[in-house]
Amino acid sequence: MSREEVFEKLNEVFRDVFDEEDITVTETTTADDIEDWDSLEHINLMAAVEQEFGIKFTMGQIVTMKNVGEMATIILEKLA
Amino acid sequence: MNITSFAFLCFFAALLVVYYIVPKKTQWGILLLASVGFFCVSGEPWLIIYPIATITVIYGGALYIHRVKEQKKKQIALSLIVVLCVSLLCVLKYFHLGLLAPLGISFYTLTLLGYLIDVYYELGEPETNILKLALFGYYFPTMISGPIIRYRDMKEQLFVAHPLQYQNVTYGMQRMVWGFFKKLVISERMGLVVDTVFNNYTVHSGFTVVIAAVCFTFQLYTDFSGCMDIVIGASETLGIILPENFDTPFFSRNISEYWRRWHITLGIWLKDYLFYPLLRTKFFTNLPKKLKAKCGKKTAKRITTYTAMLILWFTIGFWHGGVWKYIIGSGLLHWFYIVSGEVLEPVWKKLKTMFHIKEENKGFIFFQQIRTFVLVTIGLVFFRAENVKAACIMLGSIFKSWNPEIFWNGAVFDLGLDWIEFTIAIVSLLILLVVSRLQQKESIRARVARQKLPVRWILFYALLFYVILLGNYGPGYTAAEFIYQGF
Amino acid sequence: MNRKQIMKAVLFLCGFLFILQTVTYIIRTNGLVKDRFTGFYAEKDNTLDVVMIGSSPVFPCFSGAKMWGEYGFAAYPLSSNMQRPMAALSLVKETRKTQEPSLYVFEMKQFTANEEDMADNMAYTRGVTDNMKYSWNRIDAINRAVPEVSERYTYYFDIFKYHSNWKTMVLPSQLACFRYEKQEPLKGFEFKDEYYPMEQVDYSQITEQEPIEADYEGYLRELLQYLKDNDLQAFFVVAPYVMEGEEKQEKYNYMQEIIESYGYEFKNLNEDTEEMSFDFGTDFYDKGVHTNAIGAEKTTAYFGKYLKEHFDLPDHRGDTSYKSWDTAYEKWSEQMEISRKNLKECIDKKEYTTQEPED
Repeated sequence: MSREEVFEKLNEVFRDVFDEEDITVTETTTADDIEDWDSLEHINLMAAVEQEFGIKFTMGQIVTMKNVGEMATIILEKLA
Repeated sequence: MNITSFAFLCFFAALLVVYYIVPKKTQWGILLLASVGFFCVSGEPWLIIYPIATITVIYGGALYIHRVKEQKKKQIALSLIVVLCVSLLCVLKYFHLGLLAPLGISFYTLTLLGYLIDVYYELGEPETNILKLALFGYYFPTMISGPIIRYRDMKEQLFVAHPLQYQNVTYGMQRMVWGFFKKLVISERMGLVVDTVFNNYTVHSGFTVVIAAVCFTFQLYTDFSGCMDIVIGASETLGIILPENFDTPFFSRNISEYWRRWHITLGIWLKDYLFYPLLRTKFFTNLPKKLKAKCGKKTAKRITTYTAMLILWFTIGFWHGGVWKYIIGSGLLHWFYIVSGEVLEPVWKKLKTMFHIKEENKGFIFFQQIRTFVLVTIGLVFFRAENVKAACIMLGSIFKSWNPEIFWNGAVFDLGLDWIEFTIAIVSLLILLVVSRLQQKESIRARVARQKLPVRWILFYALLFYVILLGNYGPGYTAAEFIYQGF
Repeated sequence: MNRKQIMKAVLFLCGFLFILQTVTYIIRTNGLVKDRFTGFYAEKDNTLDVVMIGSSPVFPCFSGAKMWGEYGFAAYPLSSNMQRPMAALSLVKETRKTQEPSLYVFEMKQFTANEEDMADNMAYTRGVTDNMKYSWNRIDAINRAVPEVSERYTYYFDIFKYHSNWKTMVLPSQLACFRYEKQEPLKGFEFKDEYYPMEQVDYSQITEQEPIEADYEGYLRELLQYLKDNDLQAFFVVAPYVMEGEEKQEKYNYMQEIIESYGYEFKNLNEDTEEMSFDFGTDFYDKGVHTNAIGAEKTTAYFGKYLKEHFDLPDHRGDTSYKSWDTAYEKWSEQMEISRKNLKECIDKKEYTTQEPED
């Protein structure tokens, strides 16, 4: 899967989780950029991403990932 | 050794001198020695076996978890140690073994478990020097009532050389004086009213109870945050910056925000090490899927979150003491506030549009802040009252009599503070309010530092002597302990 | 940290300590004892001829103003309630910092007390230590008087005790104490205008001895040795009072022997009450423990004359630097008239004091 494809899938997940159709995430998108992305939603988001890609994050990755770019990198690593 | 005692000030002054004289490489060793000394003189010295044992277990456990490959073994090791520490904590704290309970045990237990779990999460390498780990776990400023520190945030600071820096020392000491102001001038005064009413709650009603409840909220806040100012300030003079534990919580507009600004490090700890892992368990990840069919995606998600939050808030309440008044007052009640706030959100929205209230209207913000204060105060009535029943009686008695006359017939001055003392209390609270407001915009110490020297010195002397003269301390008063050090 | 910052820090600290000292001097509890000590410090250097050290029998009994008016020497009482025996030496040292008196008078009743009755009540220790200016000698006095090391800091920094007096800071009389020097118009004397009839007891025939408390004997010997080593003139006396039992007399006999062995004189004024025409029926203020104004007048007249005759004391009358003493004598005389009248009324009506004796 290419990085672009990962982002495309991520967009879908984000739109679904935050119930907003016009979300488009980029490398530098952070929790501050999306209104409802608080620490609670973060966990829900993680679960949704995991389900979508069929992977499992470690707790360490969940609490330290800084932006969507980092998220994509981790996903690609897991898929490789 | 109480940190508002003269003995502590002497201990601190001596440490400061030694700390900056010794070779920089040994500074952390001095801190460790000081922390051991602090532990020994603050309680039963032989209880030091408890920290020694825990540190050894955590140290070995972290190394093992890091080294061993199989996830299963890691998990077993972690679970064993967590269960061991938590049950020890519960036994020592909640079965009224007061004398046997080492000081501040709940704080350093959390601190060290956080470290261990971080290693398990692979968020950091384990510490190979057990003495360094001991300093992290038992660093004396944080030992008694926090803030709860994280190894990955502190390791850069704790063990490196700290050359003497003027600003660290002066800023640190200023912060300490501010803490003394909160504790000795405000908190102790509030405590007099609180004790009068809460210790004799059956005879009070109406506004008297309201006053006492409000006083307790201020008492607890100035006590705990004052204590934090002293320890964070003391640590700053040593060149070690600790995380903040309070961020003007009473300016919060709702209860969730309040808990992000009150006892911050506990909140973060519980979120990272209890709430997230909880939500990641099979049960909670599968719950929304199961519920989705019945009640829709959004509601399913909500129910899941609220259930997890219930466990979280129960734990917070329980952590304050294994009795119902804490479980309700500092736990479940707040869960109820937050959940009902969210569930009723559509109603609020409708009301707001109906009355044309703008979200950022100053008056509305003020209303929200007052509302938060009232809700918190209700919870704290449980916290301070003898037990749940007493708290309910007190809250009920507020509506039993309408006695505004106490404000003008002088009865309000019979609650432990005469009119002069009352005036001092109110003036001091106003000073606190103004400083907190200013602090929101910019560090108050930086602001003061920009003033000309005479202005600065007059301010410092004024604050110092305000505290020295108006503080409640010394042979005329009974030395009070920090409310939070029992937790 | 650079030089300038060190300078600033040191200056700030000095400023703090200076304000702390001034504020403490001002808010130390106001009252007659404070007035007596601030008055002592306000005396011009090297002007006092006699310093009288001891407990409460001193200040209502020996009037410095009267001795000045009649014999021309300046005598000042450094006395506080229930003064504790170890304080005497500290007070001598304190005196010597600013004064060179020709004679030290020690009132000895405190040496017959029992330490257990006094040690608990730290107010008596504070009577001395918290009325001294800050100095090494004060620290030494505290170390001698306060056995609990962990308590001493509240004595070193007595702001720990007195900060709750902050309200008195607005009183002009308190503000005047900012250097702990404030003229005392009556030179430390207290008028007592009440009476209680007593009967004299005569123990003069008792020659047995009863040792005083071992600690007290230590303090006494230490004091005597110090006086001797420093070539200071001293006189040990007991003011007139109704002794509670023979044991007291035996203790005085015991002390007398010690004092005389160092070459100093001891005198129990109870044995001279006839010469001073002291009337036990009218001349005590509370129950035979302290003299009232008339008792004081009689005792002072006799005692002043005795000092003048037996010790080498100068006559400073007419000396301009003793002006305040002339004023004090005038004031004392005026007040004495009033007291005499008051007392006569009381005695005529047999109005006894309700005051319980307090040492």
